Amino acid sequence: MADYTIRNAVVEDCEHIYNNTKDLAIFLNPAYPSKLTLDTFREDGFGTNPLFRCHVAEMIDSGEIIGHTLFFPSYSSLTGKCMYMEDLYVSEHARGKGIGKALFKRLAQLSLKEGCQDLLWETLNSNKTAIKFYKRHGAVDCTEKENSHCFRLDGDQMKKLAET
Amino acid sequence: MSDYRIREARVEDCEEILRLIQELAEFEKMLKDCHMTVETLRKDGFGSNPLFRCLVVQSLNSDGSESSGLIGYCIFYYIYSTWEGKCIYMEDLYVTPTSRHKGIGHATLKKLSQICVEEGCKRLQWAVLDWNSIAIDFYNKSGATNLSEKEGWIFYRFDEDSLKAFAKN
Repeated sequence: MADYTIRNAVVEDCEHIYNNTKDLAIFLNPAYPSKLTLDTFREDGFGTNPLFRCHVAEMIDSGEIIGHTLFFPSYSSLTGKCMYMEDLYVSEHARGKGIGKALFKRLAQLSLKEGCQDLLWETLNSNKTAIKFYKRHGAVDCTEKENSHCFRLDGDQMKKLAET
Repeated sequence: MSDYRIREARVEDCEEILRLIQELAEFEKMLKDCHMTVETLRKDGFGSNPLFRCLVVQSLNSDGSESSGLIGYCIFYYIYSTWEGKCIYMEDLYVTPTSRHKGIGHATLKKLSQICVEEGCKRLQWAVLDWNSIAIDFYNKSGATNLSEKEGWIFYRFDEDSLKAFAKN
């Protein structure tokens, strides 16, 4: 029997999840730390109009939050409603026990239940552990297969274009 | 006076939006993957809980009235970045070939950037096929960054079948 459980996040989990997102951001891109504050994160996820949802993995005996997914609906003009997974994270000391897969699977089940056609996410091409994990479970690398590249206008460039 | 107007889509635009979605899908060699219908667009974009917003480009007659048919569209929705917070993802930006080279694409992207700024969104993000050099040139000129190239981000997907298989195992 597992020594952890997966459930919907509640506002009391907010600080743990926020700290995990900071760890994940540093791991993915140490030169670009997260700018998000805890207050903004709390309001955005647990306020009156949540912009995202989370599942958390919690140790049954201690109540420690050892992992999370953060996700929200997205849309494909080809197929309709999809789900986008922004974060999948397991604390370093809790890895290698199948918690990542369990979190990922719970989100896949929820996506299907909510009528989503696809589950989408991004990862860095340097994150070989993650890539191996995703491919093992049947995910498709769209950048490889369909030559899809991610573009962005960040805050300053966006304002510049808006004001031209 | 401009011969076109960019405005928020209305539910009655759905047939025209679908026509343009199919045109774009054909150009991207993905028409066989396009299962969108007018009914789905109406329900998902104009129901009680819209999953997307849409700007449309309407051509105008010489007296300023709207002529029938749309010449472009842009579908977008809200996303969340754990780096920065609320952002917008641009799913599609398309101008019909006969209406190009008039600055409509730039004007539409600019309008969407203005929406982002007004609504406190931190980023505007989208995907482009790497062989679409015309689009890539256009986006580079607008000041956008190719994150796949610069930072190595790659897109992953579970489609419906692989999602069901994974959810079951």
